[in-house]
Amino acid sequence: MDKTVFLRELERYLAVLNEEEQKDILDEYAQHIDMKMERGMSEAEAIGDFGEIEELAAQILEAYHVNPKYQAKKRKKLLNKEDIPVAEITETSKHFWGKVVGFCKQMYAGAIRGLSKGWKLLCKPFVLAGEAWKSRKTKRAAKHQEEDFVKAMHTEKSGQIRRKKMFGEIPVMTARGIRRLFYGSYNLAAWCIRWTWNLCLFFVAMLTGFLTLFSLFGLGMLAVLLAQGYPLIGFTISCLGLVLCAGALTVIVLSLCRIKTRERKKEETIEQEVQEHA
Amino acid sequence: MNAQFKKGVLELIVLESVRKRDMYGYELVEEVSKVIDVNEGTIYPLLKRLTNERYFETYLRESTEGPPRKYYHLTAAGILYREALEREWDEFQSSVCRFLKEQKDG
Repeated sequence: MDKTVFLRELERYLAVLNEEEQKDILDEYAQHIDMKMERGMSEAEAIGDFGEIEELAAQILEAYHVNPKYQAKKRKKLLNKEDIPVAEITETSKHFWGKVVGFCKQMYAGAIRGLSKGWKLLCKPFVLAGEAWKSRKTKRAAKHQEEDFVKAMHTEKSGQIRRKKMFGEIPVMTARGIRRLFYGSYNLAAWCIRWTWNLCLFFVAMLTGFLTLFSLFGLGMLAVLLAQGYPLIGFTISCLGLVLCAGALTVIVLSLCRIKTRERKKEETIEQEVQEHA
Repeated sequence: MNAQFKKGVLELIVLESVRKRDMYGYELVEEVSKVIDVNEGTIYPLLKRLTNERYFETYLRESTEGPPRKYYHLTAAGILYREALEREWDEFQSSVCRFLKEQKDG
């Protein structure tokens, strides 16, 4: 065995130790081999005197209270990947890939959820418009049926009416289209208004909330000063009033915000009920 | 010689070798090899361990030939440890001898 090969092999066994210690040990062995060679020994002989490298490394590691078997295991895994049985590789890789796949799945699901939420939010006005249109359609269908019934009733009556209907068809279509467009844009506008309204309310609530906190702080300061004997009773009382006022305002604004949505829900449920009844 | 015997007594021999004068690794190995036939490789881990346990101090000294050598010096703790080991060895050795003698006589 070559000296460099021996040292490299030994280094692999000692990988658990820090660099400095490794270098220290390897230098010592290198020097030992050099000296032996100076005394006329061959390189192979000098190295052969050390015996098995694994045993030697185990003894060195023992000096550091390192379990050589643990090191051997780790070394095998880290450095001699070709030595590991295939089953082990696949198992570890399966484990690893399982983790990766799980993570990706989670990410994907989260992204999809977020996107769908955003999409729904964006689509809401259009969906509402569509629903409204549908409900109109059903109503209209009902109306048509009625008309048909009436028509059937009056078929024996003059063709004058029929002709009138024929001519009236085109303007009715355009009117329907216009109505649809109008209704959709109305819904969009309503949605926009609702959101701006809510945002405004939110900002107002924030402002009043801050005012409340600030006046509370002031009240505390004034109370302390009052306790120290300053003539500030009037200011303290007005500050208390301010706290109550701002607090109440905040609550009102927030409740307005909530009432809006609740009302909408109520409306929706009523609409649904009406549809079901229809 | 029995490997377990060697292992037990090697520490004492190494400590005793360094007591009189500081030595570098190879010198020490040669010194120990005179007393007992031991695998040269095993002495370095021992030196390492004794250094880690503060029984040895090391320092580098330039040599006329080759790179600087690492010298081992026995510390105060090392001296105490060596004395304790020697006492143990004496006791152990004498009791074993006594036992063997008794067996022979009896």
